[in-house]
Amino acid sequence: MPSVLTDLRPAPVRRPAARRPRGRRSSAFGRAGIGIAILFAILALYPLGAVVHRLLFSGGGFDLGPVQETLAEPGLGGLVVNTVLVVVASTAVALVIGTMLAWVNERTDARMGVLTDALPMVPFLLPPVAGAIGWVLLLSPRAGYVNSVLRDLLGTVGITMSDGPFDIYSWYGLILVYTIYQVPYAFMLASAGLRNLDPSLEEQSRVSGAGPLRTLRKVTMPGVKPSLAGAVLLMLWSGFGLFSIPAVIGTGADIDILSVRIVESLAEYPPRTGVAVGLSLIVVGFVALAWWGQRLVVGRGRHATVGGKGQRVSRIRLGRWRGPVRALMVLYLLVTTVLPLVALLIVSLTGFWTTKINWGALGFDALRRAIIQDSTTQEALLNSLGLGLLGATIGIGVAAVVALYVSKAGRLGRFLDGAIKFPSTLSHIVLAVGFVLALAGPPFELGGTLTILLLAYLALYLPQAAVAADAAVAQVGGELPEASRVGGAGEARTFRRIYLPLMLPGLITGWALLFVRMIGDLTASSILAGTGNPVVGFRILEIYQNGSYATLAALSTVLTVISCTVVLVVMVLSRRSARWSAPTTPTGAR
Amino acid sequence: MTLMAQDPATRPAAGDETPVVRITGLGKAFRRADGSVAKAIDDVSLDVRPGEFLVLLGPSGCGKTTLLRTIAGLERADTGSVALRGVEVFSAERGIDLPPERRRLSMIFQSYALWPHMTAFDNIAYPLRNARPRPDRATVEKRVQAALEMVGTPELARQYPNQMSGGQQQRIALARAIVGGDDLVLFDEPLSNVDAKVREQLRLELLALQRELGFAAVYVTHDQTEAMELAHRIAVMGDGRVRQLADPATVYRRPVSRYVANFVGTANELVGTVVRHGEGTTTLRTGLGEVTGVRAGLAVGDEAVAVFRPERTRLGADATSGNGNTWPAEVAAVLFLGAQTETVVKAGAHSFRLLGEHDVAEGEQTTVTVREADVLILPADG
Repeated sequence: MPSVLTDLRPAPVRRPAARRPRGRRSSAFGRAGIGIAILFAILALYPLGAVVHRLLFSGGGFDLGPVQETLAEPGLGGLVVNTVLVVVASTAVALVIGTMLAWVNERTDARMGVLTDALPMVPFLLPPVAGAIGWVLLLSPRAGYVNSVLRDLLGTVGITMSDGPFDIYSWYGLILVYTIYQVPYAFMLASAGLRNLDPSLEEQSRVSGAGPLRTLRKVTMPGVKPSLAGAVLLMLWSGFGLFSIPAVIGTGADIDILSVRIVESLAEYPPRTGVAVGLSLIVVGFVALAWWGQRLVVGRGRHATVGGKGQRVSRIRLGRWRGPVRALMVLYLLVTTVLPLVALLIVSLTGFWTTKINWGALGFDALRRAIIQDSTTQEALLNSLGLGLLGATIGIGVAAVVALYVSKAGRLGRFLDGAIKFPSTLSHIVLAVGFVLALAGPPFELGGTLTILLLAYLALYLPQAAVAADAAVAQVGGELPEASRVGGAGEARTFRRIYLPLMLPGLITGWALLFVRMIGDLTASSILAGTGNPVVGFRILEIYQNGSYATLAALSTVLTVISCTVVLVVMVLSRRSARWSAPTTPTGAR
Repeated sequence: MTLMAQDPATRPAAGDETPVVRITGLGKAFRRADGSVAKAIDDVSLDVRPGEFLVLLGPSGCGKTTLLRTIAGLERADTGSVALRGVEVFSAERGIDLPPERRRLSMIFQSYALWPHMTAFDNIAYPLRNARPRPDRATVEKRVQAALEMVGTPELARQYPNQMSGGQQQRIALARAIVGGDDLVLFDEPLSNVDAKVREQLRLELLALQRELGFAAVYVTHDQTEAMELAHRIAVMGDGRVRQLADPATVYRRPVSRYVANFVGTANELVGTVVRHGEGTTTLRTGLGEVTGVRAGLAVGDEAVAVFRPERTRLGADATSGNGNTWPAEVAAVLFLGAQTETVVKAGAHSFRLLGEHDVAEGEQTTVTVREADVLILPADG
């Protein structure tokens, strides 16, 4: 079932490639692939080198100035504690919610087809900044729509309040929005883990006398532990790197978060690059710690990663609980995705933000004013779309070549593959800082250009493209191209007739993911874009600082609509290009 | 017959002994994760004659698939050479390694490797469309249709692979392999993924097809029944080496080693030491006393093993006196297998299997006899 959302999941565990030809003479394809891979490995590693270099060798020689500067940063302890608290708390809550959603969806009869398969992933497609603003519109203490509705309800029972009951500008508000953006990771990896777990392990447990809950605790959960560890790692990583949510909500709540401070210290004049680098490395430290922890969990190797190939799972019948469980799932999906979207839509169509929704005042005038008549916004939008189109196309192309011809080509290939995927272990903030250090100044002088944004987007999002491309290659398998070679087709023809059509659905999906990520990027854009090269993310921050929520909502809405349209179109395209994969009338027993 | 190239020049004339495949001194080693070296193929030399059905038989990990893939050009050996139709396509020494598409052979993979985005027709037409010069549309159509009919599934032409059953997919893969009229088809355990009944059926069809079209086949399997049924010759492989290369009857009746005797069929064994040689016989001293069998090239004092087949081992009443090895035994189990009955007896610490109708009950005391001519004396190691 290739759908955009389900295909965002990582590749299934690949069996050891024992039968892959090794040491084969290098072909033109292979050599070109290695060349491209080297370029992109440099693109990923060079800025990181620049970060480390800046930290240790600022004044020509070895100099710990930036380190001391960082340690002397006011409120450093509180900054670190706040960040860790928010990220760890949201990760823990998201892990529970995401795993529960995944288990209900994969193992019980409460599953509701595409709705529950795909909707938990939707936050992936909404730029976090749009979500953050949507939640402000909903839960702002005085004017938030939800608060307003709740106050009216409470008023009918005689309780009157002037604001509240909820406040988005608070610890729980911040953690709530973080959590909503973390859940897709947990859901995605837990689902993949559950699907790859051999169902007969669970059936054996049931047959051996364990009930569904005991089976869940004793067999299922230990079986998917590596997946969950992976999810925790991803969530910690993305959590430390999240910028737009703390920028919008944390600032209002007076909660200092590392990523915001990093961007601020770069935005000041003169920019305090040393401090930004030092703080970035604290982030790297935490991610490294999480990575080490994940290795500890996974490395014990007692997890049978069985390649479950579409085995039929006997779903647990929930009986009379099925209705309530389904209702809860739908409620969760409504609250986390539909509600903020509706709020954004209302504000952008009204043109201003008031507590009382004036349904008659809805119209496209405000939207037009905010987008079409504002030349800077228009330029930013066009720049973002252009960068998205170009970046996604280059990115997925490179990822496909690397997955096909490089990652299997001996030690160099594995190194290049790792180097290209390396940024995924780091926070985006760090890499963006690296791009400033490495490319903005002499000799490249790329600061304030669209080129530096394109390069940064590529380096940042290539790991995600690589995941999509690896999955696409894994789907093709080893024997299909081999059969083509034996059938008399050369390498080029095999690529054209076998690899390309088989990988196309996966690559299209990957392309859409990249496009959505690039046009919605705020992290790199906040650091690398300026008035000379505005992009949507940058423009959003600018408008936010000026405090116009209507414009903000308008831009967020447009961004979301574009993202969703692209994803929908791609879903249709990818289905169509993979029509052969849906059996219509099976003849004979399978 | 419409499928094979009809030009007599492309088919070897009778008596033409140029082998389709000649493998000389082939070797390939893998480095394991712990740094040790595993020999997947160890100095293998063998010929496949035109029209011959050669089976590579061995347990998993014995190198048979690697050997097959080396012939196809999907894997590269470290040493030795492979010649197809008298032309070297791989030579480690001379640095020759022709890619698979230029070796003019067909292969059937374990997973069938049908391309899921192509219909059966397009799958089968693929090798034809890769040929230079490319045959015209009508020719492709005709040959694909002929191939489909050959494998008995003309109605599947417009179906996609995932709309077919395993057996049907297998037939399409077979059609794809024969459509080009290549004189060499490689098979990588093609029948291991279909159920027993279909397997039997496909085996017979494959055999008929091969005998009719006359291509040379190299067939990898770990199933000795399959090997016996299909092969002109069997190459029994173990640890990357060819342990015995002979026709099925010889491999079964005259295995050259204990390994082969045990891998092909069931073998009863008695380990002992060579004590003397007689008139065409060799006698061992074993845990059950002296055992005499067919004379072997071993020295007195050598460790050896006496091997005999279940169907050549007799019980009590029908044991002929003299010229035999006879031991008292107790019936441990009688297993009814349908066409045959297997009896397990215990003689001292040894247990033997017997095939044939024996009118005995479990727990009965009896004697076991095996004629000297039916006992092979083999070296104890290997």
